[in-house]
Amino acid sequence: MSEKLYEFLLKLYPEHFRRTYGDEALRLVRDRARSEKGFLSGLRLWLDLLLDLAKSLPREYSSAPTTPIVATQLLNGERSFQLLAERSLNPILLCLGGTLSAVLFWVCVFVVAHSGGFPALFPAPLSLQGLAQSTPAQPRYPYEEESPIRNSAGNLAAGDSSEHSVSAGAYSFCTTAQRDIPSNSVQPLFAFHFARPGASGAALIDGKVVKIFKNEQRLSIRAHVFAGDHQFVLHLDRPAENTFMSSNDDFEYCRPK
Amino acid sequence: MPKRKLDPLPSAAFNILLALAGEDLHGYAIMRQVERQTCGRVRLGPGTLYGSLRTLLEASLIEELDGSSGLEDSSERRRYYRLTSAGLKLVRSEVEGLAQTLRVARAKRILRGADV
Repeated sequence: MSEKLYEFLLKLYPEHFRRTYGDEALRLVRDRARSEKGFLSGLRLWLDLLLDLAKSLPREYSSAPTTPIVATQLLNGERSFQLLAERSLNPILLCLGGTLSAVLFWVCVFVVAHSGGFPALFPAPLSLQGLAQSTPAQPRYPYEEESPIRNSAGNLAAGDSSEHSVSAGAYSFCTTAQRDIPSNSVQPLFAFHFARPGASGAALIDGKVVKIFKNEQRLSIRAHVFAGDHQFVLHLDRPAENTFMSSNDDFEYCRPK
Repeated sequence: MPKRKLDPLPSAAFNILLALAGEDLHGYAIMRQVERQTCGRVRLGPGTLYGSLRTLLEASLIEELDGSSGLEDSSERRRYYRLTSAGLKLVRSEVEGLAQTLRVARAKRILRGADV
């Protein structure tokens, strides 16, 4: 067993060493394994072998012999010589190196993923589709409206106001007077902002919104998610005729129920 | 190049030369002899042993003998090594240097016990 293992380790030595002393080294290990039996003796043997390997490997590679080359051949009338490669890399060792690298990589991934102190293994999804798919189905931060104006039937009083603002933290929304105030449907995400021209505030809405311009034109927008770095996903359901978007529009975001 | 490797003489090379001072030995016997003469403190591994043997051979401090012992299979053949006159001179010089160091140590009463 020890001999087989050391025969494998012997392949780590340079070719010139194995060619000259490979059999002798193997025989020495075999003799030691025969004379040093028992658990402790075997343990000491392998400790010796591994320490010896660590010490002697660098020295053997650094002292690889250099062979003087004499150009004796003539090629096109000029002296030339051939370069002889001793041997190509062992494919088994290449496979072993690749396997160890892959194992090491996945160990690092596992450690990073389960270390607990790392914010996220992978950054936010790069594709917009991925952003939409990663949006939670349920809102995490429900909000309450500010001073809802309702009539006796429980609906917002018509004519009281064309718009009604609600707030959820730093996010502002509004709804039209003809519809109920949206409930429990705002989905603000961490530090994600909906870039709005000319506005310093930001809004995150998970669902369908209606953009109302000053001229009361409306534009239905299906806003799935607003991601970080001012990325967002919007789908225009049915743009109203003659609707235009301008940075001068002082609009609010409204979400029909 | 080999002279530079052996100046100063590494501990492994010195112990190998000392082991070969009495008789011609093969690799495993050299390892055992070194272990005995160092009271088990030094056990040469294959890499260190044969690397040192190669360096000593290149420096002509030892020479290789054909100790086939009648075996035709080269893998079963043991190589024996013998100390050359240059090797003997070098190991003698090293030992004399150590003896001088030992005298100094004794004069300063550094050593204790039976070795004093």
